[in-house]
Amino acid sequence: MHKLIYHALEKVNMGIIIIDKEHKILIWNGWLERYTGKSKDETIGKNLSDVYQHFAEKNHQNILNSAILFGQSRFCSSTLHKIFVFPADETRKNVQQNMQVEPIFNDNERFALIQIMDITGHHHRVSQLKNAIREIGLENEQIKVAETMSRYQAMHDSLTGLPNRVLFRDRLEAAIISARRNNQKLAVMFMDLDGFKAVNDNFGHAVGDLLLKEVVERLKHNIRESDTLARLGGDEFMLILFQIAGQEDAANVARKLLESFNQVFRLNEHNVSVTASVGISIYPNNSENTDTLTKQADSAMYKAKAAGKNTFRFYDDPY
Amino acid sequence: MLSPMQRDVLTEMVNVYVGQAASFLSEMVNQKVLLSVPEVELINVGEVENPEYSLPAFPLAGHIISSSMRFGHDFKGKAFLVFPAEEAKLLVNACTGEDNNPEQNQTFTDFLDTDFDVLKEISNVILNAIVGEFGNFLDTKLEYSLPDIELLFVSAPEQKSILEKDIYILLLHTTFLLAETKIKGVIMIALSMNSVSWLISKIDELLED
Repeated sequence: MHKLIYHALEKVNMGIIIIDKEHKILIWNGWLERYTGKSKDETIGKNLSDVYQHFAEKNHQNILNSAILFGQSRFCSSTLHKIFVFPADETRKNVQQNMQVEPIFNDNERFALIQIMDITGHHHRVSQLKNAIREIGLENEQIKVAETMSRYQAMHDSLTGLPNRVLFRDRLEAAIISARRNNQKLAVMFMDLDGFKAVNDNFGHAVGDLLLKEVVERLKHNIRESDTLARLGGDEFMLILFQIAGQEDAANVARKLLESFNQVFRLNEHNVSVTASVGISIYPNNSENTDTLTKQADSAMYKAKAAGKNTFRFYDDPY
Repeated sequence: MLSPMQRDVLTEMVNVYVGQAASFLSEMVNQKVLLSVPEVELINVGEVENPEYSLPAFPLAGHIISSSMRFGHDFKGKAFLVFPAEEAKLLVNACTGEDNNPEQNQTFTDFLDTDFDVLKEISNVILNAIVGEFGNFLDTKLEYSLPDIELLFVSAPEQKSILEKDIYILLLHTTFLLAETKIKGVIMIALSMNSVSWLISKIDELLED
């Protein structure tokens, strides 16, 4: 039986040392012989601190004595200690070992059992895993940023940064719900520039684009921050005016907007003049439906064009 | 359970013990570690089940890391060092010198095996020191197991079931201070009725002197 235990001890896949109360080595197993290159003859009977000097240091002595004298078991992690016995293969880098020290009592004598496990491979895997987790985290951040950007792009006009048709529809729907709840009125305006095509034809698209940006700036000056201004495409804009008292409020805003075109636009050293035609529908007077209100404002805008441009019309207006 | 006098003596004793553990830890991680136990309680299951007993005093629901080790012979019990998972991660990072990013919430999912090993050793040092000193105080020989580390999810009703009948728990609310990081944990020492009586009678002897 003893022989069987001896063979098993030789085979186990970790270092096993047993020392007596003077720290004299009694058992030095096969794994340690292979791992450290130190044979049983070189180690058994010697003091552990003579074989490895760092075991003479105070903290190691404390650990060994606490086990032998006070029965305390102790686990030492590779993260905090790195290494306990040195591998024979000196080319091995960054070796990491865990050590466990436990008391053994036998026939009124006290010993310490020291187990040493090489977990270098495990550490490599852990650090690879840490890197992988970090990378996944970074990628996730990038994806989130990209998603936020593409969501913004899907909802906004790239030239002016204004809400586009999709976002405008959302905003109008929300505005109608809020107006209904609070028993308020709101106006929907459709604006089309007069003579924009001529600007593009005469001065080129670059100037046309500059004009659109400049128009947006002037329009913004004449509406409240809470109102929504959107570009549907080309030279078409839409506006939602919240919480208006009646048609007269909307007419006042429309007048101000049209007046903002009175001054010529100075673009790339060209003087450009344009005007606009505006159509207006009112919630809830004309309709309570998002799409209907939009269509009504659109058709009112055509009335303004037919009336000679540079003016506004309500959906209700006969011509 | 404890008279104010007994509690004072126990609090003072425990603070000396953790002071020793702190100096071991300081040496190990090469930086100043301060440990303090401002509050000591002794509770039993009956008290915890009493609805009037306020559970916040028995904290730590949610994801927790528990390190526990048994000890014996005559003075017998099981000692636990328990942290909320995020605090445990902060402690490991402070010990290994890894940066604690305050913007990034540490969670139990960030735990790796090697982190558990570090916690195992830290708890080993602290629990050995405290239990060992109790052994000295009672002048009795002890044998200790190695700590077992567990990541647990504890819901509030389950907090009670950790405690078995006729077991008394010495609850030490512990604060770690290292690398400008403050970490809170709880040391629980579960003791049998006999062991508790022994400890209290020994404290009473001190008070009589």
